[in-house]
Amino acid sequence: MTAQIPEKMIYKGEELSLCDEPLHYYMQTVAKDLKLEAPSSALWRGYVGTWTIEDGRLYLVKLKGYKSSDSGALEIELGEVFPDYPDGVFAHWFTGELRCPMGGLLEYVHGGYASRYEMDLFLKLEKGVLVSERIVNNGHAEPNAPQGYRINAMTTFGRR
Amino acid sequence: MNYDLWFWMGCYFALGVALVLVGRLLVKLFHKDQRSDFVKGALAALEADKTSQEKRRDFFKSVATGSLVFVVWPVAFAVLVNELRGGPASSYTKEDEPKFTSEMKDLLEIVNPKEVEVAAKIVDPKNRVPDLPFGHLNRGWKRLKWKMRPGDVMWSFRTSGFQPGNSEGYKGPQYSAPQNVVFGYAIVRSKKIVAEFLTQWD
Repeated sequence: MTAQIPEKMIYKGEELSLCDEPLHYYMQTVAKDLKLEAPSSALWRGYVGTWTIEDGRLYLVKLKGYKSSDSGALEIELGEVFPDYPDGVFAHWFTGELRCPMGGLLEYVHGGYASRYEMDLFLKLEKGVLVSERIVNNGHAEPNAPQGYRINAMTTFGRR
Repeated sequence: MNYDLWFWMGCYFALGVALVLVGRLLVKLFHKDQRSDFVKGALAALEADKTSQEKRRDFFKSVATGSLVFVVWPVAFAVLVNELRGGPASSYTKEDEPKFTSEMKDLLEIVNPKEVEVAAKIVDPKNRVPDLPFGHLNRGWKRLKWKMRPGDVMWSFRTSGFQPGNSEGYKGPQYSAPQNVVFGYAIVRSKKIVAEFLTQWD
């Protein structure tokens, strides 16, 4: 499996990569009729969401996705998934930890979100409410190591 | 026809006979007849009931099929090998059954849908959630209730998930709790989960 494009997390004014998919089951269940389409082997889930923690709560504020239709692949936005909330939704369904890797690359793994970085920021949430945060130090990267999340290769699928 | 052509045709058919015999042997060795004794008995009884005309017709059919196999044995042999590799065909697969995130072992307790609904109100200071039971997931809750029939029982559930990092030499993310833990409600009918609704996940 190709390394996957992460979600985006805006936390304390910083844009981070989010290596978890808080929307996964929503897309699999409530929004399954959307029939999302993967534009490349690096985005099998068919969308990228932008999340933010505001006043200690997790919100999905932006989404760019691809869905299949009779006339080909269509780009969709948040309003398509949550019609009455095009500007943001409270992610009350999420309970668990979100991981945002930070710093230099320690080890590149071409699959899922398995690459390792100097630090992992873990945000613990309970029904969408931030409970705690912690940073795990994974080691020191080489001085010339690439900074930030990256994907080395992917296959882009042709659009009809 | 010259001698060479007869020779090669003879070789072709001889090889065909040999391979068909090998094929028969392979079928005997690897292909177990999974029909029950009852079915085998019924088939034998049907065979015995056939008229002499039907038996003659079956005989000629077998001869015609056998002859065809000897002529196009490479095709027949390829089909046979493919069948043996693929295993016995089955018209029923488990894929026909709906798949659920929850299993019977994940069920926690029987719940009353009305009480669940009352407790499922979600409040957000920014009003980014609908004022409905289970907020943005309300559609899923409605679907679950719609699937409930008299005699069905609604259970709450929690899947156990998995804890990455248990294996030796694991260097991946250090999550503090198990991953992929899913909460929700399931409808149980005749000791089987027939529908589910996920309310929380990670």
